[in-house]
Amino acid sequence: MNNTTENTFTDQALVNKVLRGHTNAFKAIVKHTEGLVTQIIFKMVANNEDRRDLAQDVYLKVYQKLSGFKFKSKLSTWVGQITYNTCLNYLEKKKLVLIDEHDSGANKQFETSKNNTHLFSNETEKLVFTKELSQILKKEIDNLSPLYKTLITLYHNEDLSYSEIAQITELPEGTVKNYLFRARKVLRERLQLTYKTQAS
Amino acid sequence: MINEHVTDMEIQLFIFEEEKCAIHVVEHIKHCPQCAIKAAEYNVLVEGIEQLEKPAFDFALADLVVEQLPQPQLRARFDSLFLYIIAFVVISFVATALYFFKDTRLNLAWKTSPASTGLIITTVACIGIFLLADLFRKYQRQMHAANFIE
Repeated sequence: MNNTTENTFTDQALVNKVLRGHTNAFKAIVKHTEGLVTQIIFKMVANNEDRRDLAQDVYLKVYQKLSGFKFKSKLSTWVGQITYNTCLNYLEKKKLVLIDEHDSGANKQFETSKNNTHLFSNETEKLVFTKELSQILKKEIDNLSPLYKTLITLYHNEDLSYSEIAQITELPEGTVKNYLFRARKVLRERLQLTYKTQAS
Repeated sequence: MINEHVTDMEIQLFIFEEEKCAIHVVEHIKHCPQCAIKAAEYNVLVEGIEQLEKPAFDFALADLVVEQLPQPQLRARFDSLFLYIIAFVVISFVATALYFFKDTRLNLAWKTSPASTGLIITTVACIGIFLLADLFRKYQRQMHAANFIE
């Protein structure tokens, strides 16, 4: 039996238990999907208080809509979709943008002047840079647009496929790939800029 | 090998989906130091992202959510109570009507044939059952719509 079928069976068993009134089964669903939900909320919403409220809101929606879940995707993907839409509504209400203009294209000035620069020119530099990397990277990821941050996280930290990310964000798979490409490119360029600024 | 450098998109494709990458791109990256460095940078970038600490809430989300869930057992109990109340009201009403219109009913019974009485009782019972069933079904649908479907 493959993993997808196994997941569907587990999902189905859990959903049926919740619908029969077992709150412990719902607790299991929350624990199973909490990581994904937290990642999406933390990447799309900056305010801590709002994150807390949104997380609770997401799971109450999941509970209310559970009888309508048709098992066409994994339960976690469906929960991720509800989380993403809830965050999207939040951003709309707060009039915040999903993709910042600065992120939509490459940094032109940087690209023309330093087209041939690299993050490190030798192994020692690479070693030093790798040590500082997580701090710089964390900061630079935080500076990305909410959508880019989310896509990067879903693909590289949650190990979701393009198709699963497309289901969660309700974007075409090609668009997901394109945005991911741009996000990585912007991130690489910003890292170069940060590194070169620090070095000089 | 092509002499022109490959694009950023091709380098990313080489790293993340090498099987979909054109052979000339793979060959170029393998032989061009500049593009190889770019590819290495993307690798470092991705390794860095993968090693980042996962965010977490500073409270037990599962416990907090479960506390706020509506209690399904209470709802079921409320459903049963609602049905009992309806049944009690209907029975009381019928019993009161039968008691107060006892004489009229007896006179009517004398005058009506047993076949007609049977027919009337069956018809009233059938309509009553049908109306009650329909009412209950509507009530269930409304409860379902209000609580489970947005």
